[in-house]
Amino acid sequence: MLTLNYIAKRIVISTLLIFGIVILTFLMIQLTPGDPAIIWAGKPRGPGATAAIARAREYLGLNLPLYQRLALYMYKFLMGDWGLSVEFKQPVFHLVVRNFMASLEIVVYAFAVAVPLSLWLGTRAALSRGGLGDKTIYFLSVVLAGMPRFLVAVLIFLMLYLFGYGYLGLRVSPKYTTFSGLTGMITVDSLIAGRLDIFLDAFLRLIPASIALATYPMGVITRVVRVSLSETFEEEYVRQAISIGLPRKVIVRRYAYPNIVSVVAQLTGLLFSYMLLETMVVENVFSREGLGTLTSRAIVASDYPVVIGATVFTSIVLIVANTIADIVQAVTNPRVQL
Amino acid sequence: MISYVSSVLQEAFSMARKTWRRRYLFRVATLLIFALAFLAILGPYIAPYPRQGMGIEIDRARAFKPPSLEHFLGTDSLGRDVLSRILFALNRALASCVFVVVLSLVIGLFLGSFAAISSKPVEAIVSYLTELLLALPSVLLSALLAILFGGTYEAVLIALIVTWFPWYARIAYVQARGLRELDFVKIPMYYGLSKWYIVTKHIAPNIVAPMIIEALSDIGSVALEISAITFLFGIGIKSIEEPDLGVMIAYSLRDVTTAPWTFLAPASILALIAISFTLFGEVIYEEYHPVLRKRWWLWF
Repeated sequence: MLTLNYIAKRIVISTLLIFGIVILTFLMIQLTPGDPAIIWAGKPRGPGATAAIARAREYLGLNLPLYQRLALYMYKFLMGDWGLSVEFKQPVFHLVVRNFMASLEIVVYAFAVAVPLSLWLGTRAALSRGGLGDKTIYFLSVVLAGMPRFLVAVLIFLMLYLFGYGYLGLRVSPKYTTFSGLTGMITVDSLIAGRLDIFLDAFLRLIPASIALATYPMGVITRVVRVSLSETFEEEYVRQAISIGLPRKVIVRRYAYPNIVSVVAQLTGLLFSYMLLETMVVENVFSREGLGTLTSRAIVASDYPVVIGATVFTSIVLIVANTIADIVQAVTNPRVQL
Repeated sequence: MISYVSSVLQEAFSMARKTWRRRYLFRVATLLIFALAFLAILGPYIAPYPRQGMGIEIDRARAFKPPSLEHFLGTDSLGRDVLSRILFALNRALASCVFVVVLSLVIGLFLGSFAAISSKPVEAIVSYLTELLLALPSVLLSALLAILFGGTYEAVLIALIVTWFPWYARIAYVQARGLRELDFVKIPMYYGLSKWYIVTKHIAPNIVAPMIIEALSDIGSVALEISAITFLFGIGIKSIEEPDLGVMIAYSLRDVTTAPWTFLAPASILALIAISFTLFGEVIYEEYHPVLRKRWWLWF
């Protein structure tokens, strides 16, 4: 019951946060210095400028009072009408979702690589704390997490280049670019459509990028697993289990791991926001398309609707991810709710 | 004022000094930090080719010279000495990181402590706003500000401060909430002293030392974040001649297969900054952790 209460509370708070983000971006649009319509239309110049500004003025409802504008903005937001991109001439919602999914694909694969690996490394380090293995793993994790992601990505790219795999850039090979599907993640879509050749191609191109990205969460999660496992080994119930004489594997897996699941879950949620920045960098190096290319093209064209849309969407995804992480944490560790 | 600040800093200093005596890794990290700070301050004066470092002097005939005695780290695509460029960029990189971290720490510390001793609604609103800002990604926020105000360096700094101070506010809030039921906070409150006085005199000095250490180790992450933003969007510079680590790396990316030194030199400096600051914080954390400090051997 307590858990259900907590989950309900968490979900209500997250909904409020999502609305807060929408209101925040609304304020950022409306309270810009100068004319909001000009900025929304992408600071246009040339013959079509007045028409574009008039359209933007109508879209934003600038002749209405502020509270009606907010209601209008909320309504349009919920209906998925996030405006028209200045640069790409497409609805912002589709643009943002498509590019975000491309970035999310790398993040998901990176976590899939990083979490099991760092659990293993962290356990090894915690079991031999103070020894040579621990010191090596610890130092390696600090270095991996501290290296700028472009350095890691370029080193991997250089290696691929030297061994003759330099073509593994892009998301899919140019002959498959017309392929598109429901989720926007090529590896998932191609499996749904039953196109194994596309899946293999996309997957091969995904591996170097996600390994480059995975180095960051690996470094961080390894350190946290090491610390929290060491703490767990000091707990009474683990000492009890040790004194009974259970084998080490059982102690680590059955007794110690359940205690650190909550910590790892929460950390994964928190890392999400920073990972997004790193994804953009990695995408840039491997010349994949995604949120990074979208945003940098939007900046050049002063495409305000796209950047606003990307900000709102990303923030919402981060809030949802953190909520899920918190719920997992609460379920696995009921003490959190107090 | 000075005595107040020094008494606040003293605890952080003593934490660092204690760790210095015990851990050699900490000594390495601290010395690296001092060396980097030294280079950052003196960089513009000791750079071998200051005019190339600032990007004023361009000579395409000397482009892509590999590292030699004349140019320690080689030259880039426009024939400028990479070492001088890095020395000029380092100054700016470290100064902006320190600025961001100090400002976020101060804002976060006071906001969090105030929230902890304020009335219930204020507390709820502040923690709600903190959560809200935590969800904003700094990259996209800096992109927004870049469109609004033109891509100045201030846009990047503001975006980073807005996204970093909530972390400190959250830490300070949790710490201060643990203190608010204690006598040295309660009695001044009953006495009717102002909240500002209680926060500065009784709460902040008690929670600031671990937060300073935390902030110091965050400088590395901030450096990475700033350089990633300038790397991605090229915002924050007035012209491409201006030395900035992120922009240097972005421009060297095209030539990485033919002239790897133009990329590797600035990228490894950045890695050095991030790693040494992270190690600095991590080792102190470990030294003051009740379980990690214990001697440990495998006994099961």
